[in-house]
Amino acid sequence: MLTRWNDWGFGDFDRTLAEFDALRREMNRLFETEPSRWMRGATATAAPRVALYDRGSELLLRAELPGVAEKDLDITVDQGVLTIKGERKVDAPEGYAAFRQERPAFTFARSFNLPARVDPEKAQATLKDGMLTMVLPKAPEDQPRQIKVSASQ
Amino acid sequence: MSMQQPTKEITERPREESIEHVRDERRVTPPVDVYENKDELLVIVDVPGAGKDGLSIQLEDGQLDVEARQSAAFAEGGFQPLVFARSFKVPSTIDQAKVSAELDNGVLKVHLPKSELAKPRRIAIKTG
Repeated sequence: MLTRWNDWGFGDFDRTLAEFDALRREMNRLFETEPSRWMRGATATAAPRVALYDRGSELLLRAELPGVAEKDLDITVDQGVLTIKGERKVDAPEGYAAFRQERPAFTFARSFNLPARVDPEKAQATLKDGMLTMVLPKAPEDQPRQIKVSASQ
Repeated sequence: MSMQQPTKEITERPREESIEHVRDERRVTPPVDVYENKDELLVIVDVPGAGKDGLSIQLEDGQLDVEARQSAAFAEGGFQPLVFARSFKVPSTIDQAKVSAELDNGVLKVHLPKSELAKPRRIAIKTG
């Protein structure tokens, strides 16, 4: 007859050990993630929602960056990699008591391998209503080309 | 990351999941800060991509409904515009006529001023 470990009366002890196991796993997981996650305390590293489109002659990028000021954004294109770095500063009003705080200050950095060569000189970036829009015209050699089909006689 | 602090002043209403939406839109719950000082309650909501036209703020029967629709101008390819929606119960001491809102760079601030009666008052103590 099979008797389960728990039926022997060690259930509580067993459970305690399991708790320790769970805690150890949690600690390992915490320390394996990038240091910025747990070292900065109140500053969380958030990844904003980003979309990148290929519109044929240009690439279009949109990123949701609510409350990020223009001067706190840093955008670079280097060797086909687009990097957006930014920071949202704490915007808690002074003299108020906080009931609920779900909107932390954050820093973020995201890099993208661009699917085509772009002309950085012609790139445009605008920030409106907390949404970053970038238009990156493709370099002439990566522009789409129409291939003419000639009917042979 | 949210700091769970029980409060009687302003509580969030559970979302009514059973209601189906007819329109093709994705509703999401945006992060919110709630502050209070002696004059007002202040609700701050992240609504990136929503313009003034896409905003709807309603206060009825002690319930504040905030809805912000991402501008259709940002809809492109697979980027389905989101609707940020959240509801709160607010205390009856709010002066409904004086509620105001401001939108700046994707951050919405709703000011809910307390009515005069609800404001704290300093009581003078006479010494004699």
